[in-house]
Amino acid sequence: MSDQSNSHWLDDPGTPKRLWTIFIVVLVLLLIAELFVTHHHKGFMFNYGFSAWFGFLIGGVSILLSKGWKKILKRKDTYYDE
Amino acid sequence: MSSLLFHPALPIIVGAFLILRLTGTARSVILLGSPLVSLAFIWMTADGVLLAIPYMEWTLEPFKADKLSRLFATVFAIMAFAGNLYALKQEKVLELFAANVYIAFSLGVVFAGDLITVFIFWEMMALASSTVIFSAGTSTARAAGMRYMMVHLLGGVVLMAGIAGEVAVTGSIAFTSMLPDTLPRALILAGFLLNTGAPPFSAWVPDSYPEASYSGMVFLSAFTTKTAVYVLARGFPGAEILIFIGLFMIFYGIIYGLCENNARKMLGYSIVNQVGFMVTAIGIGSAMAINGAVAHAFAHIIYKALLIMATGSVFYVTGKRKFTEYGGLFRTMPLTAICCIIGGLSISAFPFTSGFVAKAMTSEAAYLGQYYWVWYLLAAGTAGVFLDVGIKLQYFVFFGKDSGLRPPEPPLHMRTAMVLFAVLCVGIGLVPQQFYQLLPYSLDYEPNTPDHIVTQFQILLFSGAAFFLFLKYYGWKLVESLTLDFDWFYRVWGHKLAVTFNENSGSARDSIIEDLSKGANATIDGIHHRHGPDGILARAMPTGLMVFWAIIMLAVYLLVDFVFM
Repeated sequence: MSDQSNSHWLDDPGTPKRLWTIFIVVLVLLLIAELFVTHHHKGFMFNYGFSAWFGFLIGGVSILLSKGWKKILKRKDTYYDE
Repeated sequence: MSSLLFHPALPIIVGAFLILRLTGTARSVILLGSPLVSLAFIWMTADGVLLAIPYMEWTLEPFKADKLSRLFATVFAIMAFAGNLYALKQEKVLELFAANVYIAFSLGVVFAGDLITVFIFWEMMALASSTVIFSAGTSTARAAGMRYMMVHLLGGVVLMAGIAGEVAVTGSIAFTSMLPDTLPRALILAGFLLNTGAPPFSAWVPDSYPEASYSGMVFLSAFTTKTAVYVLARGFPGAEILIFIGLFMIFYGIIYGLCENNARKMLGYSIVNQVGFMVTAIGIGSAMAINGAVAHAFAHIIYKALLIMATGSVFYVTGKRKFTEYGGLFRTMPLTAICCIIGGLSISAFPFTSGFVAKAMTSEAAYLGQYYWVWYLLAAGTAGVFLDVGIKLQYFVFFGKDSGLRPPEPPLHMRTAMVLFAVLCVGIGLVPQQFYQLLPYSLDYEPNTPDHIVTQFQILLFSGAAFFLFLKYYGWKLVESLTLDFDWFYRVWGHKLAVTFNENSGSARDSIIEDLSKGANATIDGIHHRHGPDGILARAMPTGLMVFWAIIMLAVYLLVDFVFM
């Protein structure tokens, strides 16, 4: 029996591209799906597409904030061991 | 008094002492049986005060129950069962003993009807949980355990001061709903908050918990912070300051989690983050919000334990805990990976998981209470958590760059515990109404509506898109680092202060000791001089001398009698 653990489908070189395609299709489907639902509440946060761009924005901001924060306060992980 | 025999803490504490004596199958039976007996007791417990003990001018109520205490006790017992199952083969009996005693004390807190009882169990929890950390046995665990204990003893002092002040001002020890409008009540609130991981002392969670053993951290993650949520929900619903504190905790956990390279520490940060949601909900304080907070606590205990079990399993089989050392583990640990992903989806409030049906109520409460800015920040927090535990943790442990590690799955009992909790995470998400019936308030609310599900998927997946785009175009550089936190002040400056004090106070201390020993020696010499073998009071007296003095005394007596009578 060959070592199956090294021939997983996720290791296939084409997989990342396929996953990206699926991911983008899902995102588009979500935007389309919102056209067919009625929001229970009223307000800016329930406008069409709000959740999509807000989620994307927050994702980006969180990453940049954490990178910046790390730049200032990063130390070696043996810092407290002296 | 007989009601005490049915206190849900009793089976667990008896079990804790039994496992010290037992080995093999008998020990396993007790470990798994005692939480189940406790669960039965919890559901047999009627509402109201079940035990009252007069103490000085007050009445202690060590056993009082209602829907809120039963809910927390239920999830504590479930957690005890799964935790003991996961730790079934833990060789360190001290850890198992301490963990079970710790669970019993936390049940003591949730069934406590007065502040003094709360305080007693609160402090005993701190000692028992410190022991869980110490029992890992490493030098880093000892140091982290000491820091943990120092922070919690400080919290205990603040809480005690608050309770004493409250009794002095109101004359009552009743543990009821209050607002932090007097100094004693503010101190009680501060004491409670310290155990939630609130700022500035948030760092104790990620600092100490990861140093416990693979199973120790599972126990630790569930009880201290959640009993704190319980006492806040009972004691301070609607205290508006909690909204600000809770929101701070949410973003603190996300930012530090994203910076962190130690997977277990990162989960520590995410405990603070999640408890932040609960604290915010308690600050809003409406019936919907309190339901949201306690439902979240219930769901959180399960999915966070699941996440810690999964990363604990990886730690158990590889001995490693850093993202820089992991990668590609899905190949040989698929079950652990699936369980971890289910935990990650639940914590991110993915639709059809327990996290979704719980957190939805808090957002709804913010909307209905017209805290719109809180609503936005809660939504942002949800997106952030997904990046953290939903993606980063899973990606760098199980996928990402192949580390070449090919560890086996953990043993059967550990896998069973994980599967049990993974099933609960999804089950609660699929049948939310049955879950909602356990909550303190009966409300008509349905989380699984099409609009809600679509927008939740949008917010999560688009936030994930930001992560993957960043990863694709900039890469995510993992480095072996830590990020400084508030604990720097006591770990560096506090340490310096202690060292300097020790050095500079040395001569003063020596001279004080010299003075004291001089005084002591003089006293001893004096005693020796009078009472020692040659002392005047210990000397043997000749009989003649005694007779002589007796005659003199009699002569004086005669003389006095003759002159004055």
